[in-house]
Amino acid sequence: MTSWRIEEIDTDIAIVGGGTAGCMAAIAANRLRHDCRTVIIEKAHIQRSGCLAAGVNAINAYLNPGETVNSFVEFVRREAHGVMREDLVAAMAARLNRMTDNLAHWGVPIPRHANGHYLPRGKRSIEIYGERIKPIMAARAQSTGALVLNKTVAVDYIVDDQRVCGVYAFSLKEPVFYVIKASTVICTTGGASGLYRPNNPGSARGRMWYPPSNAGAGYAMGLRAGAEMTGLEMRFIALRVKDTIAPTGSVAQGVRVSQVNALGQSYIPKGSHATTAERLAATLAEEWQGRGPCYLDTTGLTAGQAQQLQEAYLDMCPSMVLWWADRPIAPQEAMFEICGTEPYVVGGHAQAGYWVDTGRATTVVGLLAAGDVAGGAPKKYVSGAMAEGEIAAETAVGFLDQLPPPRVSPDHIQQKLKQITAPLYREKGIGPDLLTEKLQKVMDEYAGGISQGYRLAGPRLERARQMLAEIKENTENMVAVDLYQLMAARETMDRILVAAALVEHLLYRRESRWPAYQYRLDFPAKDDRRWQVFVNSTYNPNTGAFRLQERPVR
Amino acid sequence: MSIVWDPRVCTGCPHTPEPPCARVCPCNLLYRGHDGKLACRDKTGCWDCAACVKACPNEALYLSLPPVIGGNGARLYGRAYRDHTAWRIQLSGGKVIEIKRPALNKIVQSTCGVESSSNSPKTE
Repeated sequence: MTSWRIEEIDTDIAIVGGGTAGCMAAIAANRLRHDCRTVIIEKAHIQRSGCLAAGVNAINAYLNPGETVNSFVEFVRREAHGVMREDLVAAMAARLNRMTDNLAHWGVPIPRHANGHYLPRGKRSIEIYGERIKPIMAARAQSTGALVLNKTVAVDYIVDDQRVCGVYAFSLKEPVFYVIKASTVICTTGGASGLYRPNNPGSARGRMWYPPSNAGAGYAMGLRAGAEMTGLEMRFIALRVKDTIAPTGSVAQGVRVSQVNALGQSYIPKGSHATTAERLAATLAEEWQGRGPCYLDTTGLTAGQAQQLQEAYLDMCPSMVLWWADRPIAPQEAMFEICGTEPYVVGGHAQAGYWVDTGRATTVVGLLAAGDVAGGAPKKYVSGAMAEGEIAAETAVGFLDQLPPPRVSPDHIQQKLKQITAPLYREKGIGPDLLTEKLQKVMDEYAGGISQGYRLAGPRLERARQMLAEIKENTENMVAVDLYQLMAARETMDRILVAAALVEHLLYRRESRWPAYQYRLDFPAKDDRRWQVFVNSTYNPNTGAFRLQERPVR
Repeated sequence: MSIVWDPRVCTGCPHTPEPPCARVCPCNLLYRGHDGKLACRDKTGCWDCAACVKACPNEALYLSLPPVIGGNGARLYGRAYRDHTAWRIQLSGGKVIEIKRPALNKIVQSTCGVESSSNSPKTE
């Protein structure tokens, strides 16, 4: 692999990541400006990449009759325990139903009542047959004429005079280094998994909730370009079916079952307004008081409901169906045990991500963000990520004629190529998988992972900070034997940087705001007078230092 | 090790630039090996999304739970057809259950060219 070919591409808008937000951004950009040239850089293949690879059986951000933009904003405010960006959530909420209608129009089967309304699964949720949702979205995005670079790994933004004007990337298929020059870049990479040791060990380590391929590249690229990030300390920990890590929402919302402890006592009263974080914390509390394991009590399901449940899981998390088949039992024959996942950094469920304005422009000129990688607006899910993709595309199209043509110096290209490909040319060193394993162990043990019951404390976090600095030094010795491993090496570097930023955020917030997601043993109280603020950070790649600052909640 | 394939059934799809299963793996784990058949870089990294399973025109692939969370031999086969997905669940006792799920809205079936298997289905 000695000769790399450098391929330069000129475009108007470069979209990093062909997932939900990225596809919608391409579709919207084309609708607004037919002559707009768009490139989508996708690490896997757009047809099945990202969170929706397996499908999804519900749209969980939808305003059913009786719900309004305001009621959605208030719901998100409760879920975020007071710290969220009302402007971002309101702008997204206003588009949720239209995005859902788009999906139906493009071909996703969404059942309706005779009165024309979609079938509600909860106040803000509807049922869909979404196994094919991603190929349908991808076909739509491709039909715009966007150039889709599949199996292409984005590594860094091209920055010229503090403006983002493109993306560096490399192909997984052949030694090609892309220099994609763009007037505007929209980052839609998604959040970060793999920072912490996952639930399942060894041979099942990939069986996690968030996609194992989401390495937090968007956060890391943003940090290296000096973008301001917000809310990383609001980690997301999902309450899931043990072992299969299947979503519990299909059960809890679809057919109304109760959550019980090992004594058969329901510990979350029916009709409770507990937030997602509080439900998880209540489950952990039962465990710690000796009343675990906890379960979703499916034993009251009728045979018909159990069948419906299995079918819904096939559209989203097929391994759950396999788990029943492997016993073999029917869903109503045994309760399912539930557990918390390892913590993730994700702006679509919690609010970790780029600090953006209402138009989803980041703090760096020429760079926008949408979906799980954009901060301040929790509870996006599929329709919210689409809404943000559309908003970002509108902003990007508005920028098109305002920014000067992008410039990249040949020296800088050569320097970047050398830096990125270095692991291929080292003779000895550490493999990316081993380094990731080390990262996950440190984060688990010192930054509130599963083994710590997610609990955090200052001195342990300081130890994590120190150990992450050592791990970062090890990246200088990473080796890769092929392009796939070069991608893994890049993912490892990105994860280490995101983990370091996360630890700074966790150290900075000296209160406990979000049960389980962010609980400090040394500052166990929620302190609204002091801490009802956003914690934001910027990274200096030259010194390796983070600058933390607070921004008011309006 | 959730993803399993039968090397006697897998042809490696020699007439495609990249086998359809490998093309759609969101984790980039699959590729065509030296013997021309499917190979996997690291089975432990599999997310169990079943994208590869549904893309295989020969139904050579299936999901099975590794011993750490399963290990009794149940298998999940599936195939994406134009307007539906056909699943075949083989229980650990050997019994087989078939389930068909709608995948494409009837209204747009005639106009929207989305994913479908390269070989046309035998029935339907």
